[in-house]
Amino acid sequence: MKKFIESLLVCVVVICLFNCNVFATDEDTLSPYGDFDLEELLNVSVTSASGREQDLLEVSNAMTVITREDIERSGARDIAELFYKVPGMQIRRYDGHNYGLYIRRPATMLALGLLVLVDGVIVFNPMINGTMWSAIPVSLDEIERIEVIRGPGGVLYSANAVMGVINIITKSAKETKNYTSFQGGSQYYASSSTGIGGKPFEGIDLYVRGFYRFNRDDGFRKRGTKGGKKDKMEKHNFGFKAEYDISDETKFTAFVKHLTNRVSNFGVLQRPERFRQHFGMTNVAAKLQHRFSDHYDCDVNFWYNKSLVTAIEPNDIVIDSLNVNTQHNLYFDLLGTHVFSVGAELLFNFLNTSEDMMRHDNDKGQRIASAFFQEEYRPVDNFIVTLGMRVDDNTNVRNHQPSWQPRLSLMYLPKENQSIRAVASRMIRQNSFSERGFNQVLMYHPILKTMPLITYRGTQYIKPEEVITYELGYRGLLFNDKLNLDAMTYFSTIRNVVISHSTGSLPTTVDIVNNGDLMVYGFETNVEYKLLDDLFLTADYSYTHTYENKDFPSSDLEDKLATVSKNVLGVGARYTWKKLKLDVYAKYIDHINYIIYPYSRARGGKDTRITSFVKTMFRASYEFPVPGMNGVDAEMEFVANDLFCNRRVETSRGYYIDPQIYGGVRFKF
Amino acid sequence: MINIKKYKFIFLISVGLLFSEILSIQAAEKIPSDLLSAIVLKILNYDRSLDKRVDDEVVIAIIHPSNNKDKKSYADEIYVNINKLKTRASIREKKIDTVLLDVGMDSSFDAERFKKALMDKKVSVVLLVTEDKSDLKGLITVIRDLKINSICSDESRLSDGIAFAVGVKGDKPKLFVNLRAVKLEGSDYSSKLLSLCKRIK
Repeated sequence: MKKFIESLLVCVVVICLFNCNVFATDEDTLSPYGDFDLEELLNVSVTSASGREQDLLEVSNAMTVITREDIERSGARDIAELFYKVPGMQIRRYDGHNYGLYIRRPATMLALGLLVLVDGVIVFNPMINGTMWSAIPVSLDEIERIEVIRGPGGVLYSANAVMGVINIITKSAKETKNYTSFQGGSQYYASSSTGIGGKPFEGIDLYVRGFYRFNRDDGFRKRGTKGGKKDKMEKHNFGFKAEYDISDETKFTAFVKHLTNRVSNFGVLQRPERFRQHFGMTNVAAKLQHRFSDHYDCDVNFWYNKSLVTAIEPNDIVIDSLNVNTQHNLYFDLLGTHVFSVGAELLFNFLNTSEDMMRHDNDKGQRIASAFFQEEYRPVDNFIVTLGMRVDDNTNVRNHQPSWQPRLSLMYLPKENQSIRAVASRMIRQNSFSERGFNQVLMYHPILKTMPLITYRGTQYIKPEEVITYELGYRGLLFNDKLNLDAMTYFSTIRNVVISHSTGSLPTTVDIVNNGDLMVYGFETNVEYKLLDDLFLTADYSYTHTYENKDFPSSDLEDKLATVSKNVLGVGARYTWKKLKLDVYAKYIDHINYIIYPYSRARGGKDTRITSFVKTMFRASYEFPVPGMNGVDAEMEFVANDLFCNRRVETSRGYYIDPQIYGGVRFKF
Repeated sequence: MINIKKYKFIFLISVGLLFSEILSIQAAEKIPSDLLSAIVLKILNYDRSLDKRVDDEVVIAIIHPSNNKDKKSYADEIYVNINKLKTRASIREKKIDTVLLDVGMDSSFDAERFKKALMDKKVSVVLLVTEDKSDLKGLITVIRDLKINSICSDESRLSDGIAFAVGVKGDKPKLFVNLRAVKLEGSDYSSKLLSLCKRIK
């Protein structure tokens, strides 16, 4: 580590000394845009003096957009870390590599209702309806933008967009900015990635793009282990995308992505060699878009996803998912402007696992059939009414009762750069395999290999959760367009809450049951202020209050309610000085529930503590043209995260959080 | 942990080199001139009417208001950037030329003089760098009479009658179009281009 930093310093000095014209302006160079086509030019990032969320003014959801620039300047090593700056998002770190992301509800890996998509492909695990963030096949360097919807996602997204949606959109194949990057740092972190795209055939509008990313690190130290054993990780991620403009009106897109991730994690017996986890995911997708006229367009999508989770070798849980969906949009004028959308979706999930992991239920398949419509009516320029309905039919729900989910939103734009919205919706979270009655053995005894240690047991009588939400929000640019403000308040009722209830001592069976109702209300805000031309100050704050409506048979829910952070406050600054970029950010999170690993309940006594946590992020980078290589720029960066953390908190699996310091260089060509 | 004292000289040299030049902070208030220039040339490739209206050279007149140094400076940058690009680019296989025109956009606007200047230089496209409150009525009338394409860098001027604008929405360039103005100018842009634009009435 010391040698790496020494060599980095030498590189900085040498490059500065040899490149005396690092501050040269671009006046004497040819324009870099000469070879771009129009779509590429419209994809170039431009620093805007006014709000960069102008696009969101007419969006009726509470949406936060994480742009490409945000990602590059975040200093994040994992995708989950990007969401710290999203108000209302609660992030829990389980260990060195596993995260839980929650919006407005208690922290649990089950029953999240948070839909996660990568280029339209659902990547959450239908076994538990949760997302394995270390298993998503997307490279940080390939993400173009992330749309985060806090609260119900509306009717146009797939099923389970109940508490929120994370929509990850990767770079288009028409993106011709290529890169190669190398990073290294603490915890023996090493990463390299590359992304290359282009138009292979002249005269044919076919664009292709490929990427590869490798990263590894030693993770964090497990508390209470001899020598502080670590959870090491090694991840490989690659993909390929092709876009073909068949005609002016028709476009075809196809892609394949794959990730494999091996983690040495700790089970209850603190022997990492025996508890290697293996995650993998493969997406294959195709999309056809056609614009019939100015009044009608449609798209048809198909995707296949294979996910692999190995809790403990050799017990693999493999899920194959198939999805076909279509959406048709009509645009017409009739006493105002109308956008009418209608569509349908079929989703199949197939569970492939060893017989040992099933107990009573032999049905390994799930089918969700959905239909939806939405009407967006604009009687006058500054008023929009949106009414929609979605119905899902899920074979995991007893008697196949369809879920009817209406949504109504009203939006008023008092001025050009301001909007006020009110939304009411009802959404149903679709049951997972674990909830329905499939007995999942999560862990076997390492010596008595046929003896289950932890078994999840659902029931076919379980009712799906129903979430009714009311939201009131404001977005706008104020004070001469210098202040960008997004604020909202909400109230939700979650009926038939599904929670897990365990005996506590090993071996244990975790019963998954309906357990009363929850109420959630809160406030979320996000502010960006342009203090100087190149200096922006940011702040985000959320207040969340959850309380139960009925008595519960165990203390499980009380523990889970305690895991919701009431107050989460983040402040940051972003400064750009020609080619130097500086970013700092600090986040205060209260009510972090520090839990000792479940087996310790056998010892008796209190095993949870409530405390607060401050997360910090710092990044500095400098960009310069590479001497002797025309058209190649390099960006050197230095990142220091969690420098001031209290190392005994935050991870719920008892891992010390160490500061993460790393540096790297990225070549753009 | 790094021994800062041991490496302090390296740190000092590095920091000194990084900050050795006095750098002026430039605000990005609008789309950068080089990007705007490239986009304008690409837009014009989608106008099929240029095949009939123009012989073998597309002349782009960059018009800026008199007595406004900022706008003149921006117009100069666009002029330089188009001249750089034209060596490698063409518009519908025709050569490209540029002229700078200094025009009063208030009560001092002289329609006859402006029209004569456009005709003498055989201008086929006008790229406007306008002030927020300038009156473009007379200018637009001349442009439509001569069937010249109009483009500007401020989308708010589309409602005054300019056909195309290249603005910024979020952190990306955005195209805006006034379809009625396009029709009055006699242009024939393909639907592929129009699908990329936001339509302003």
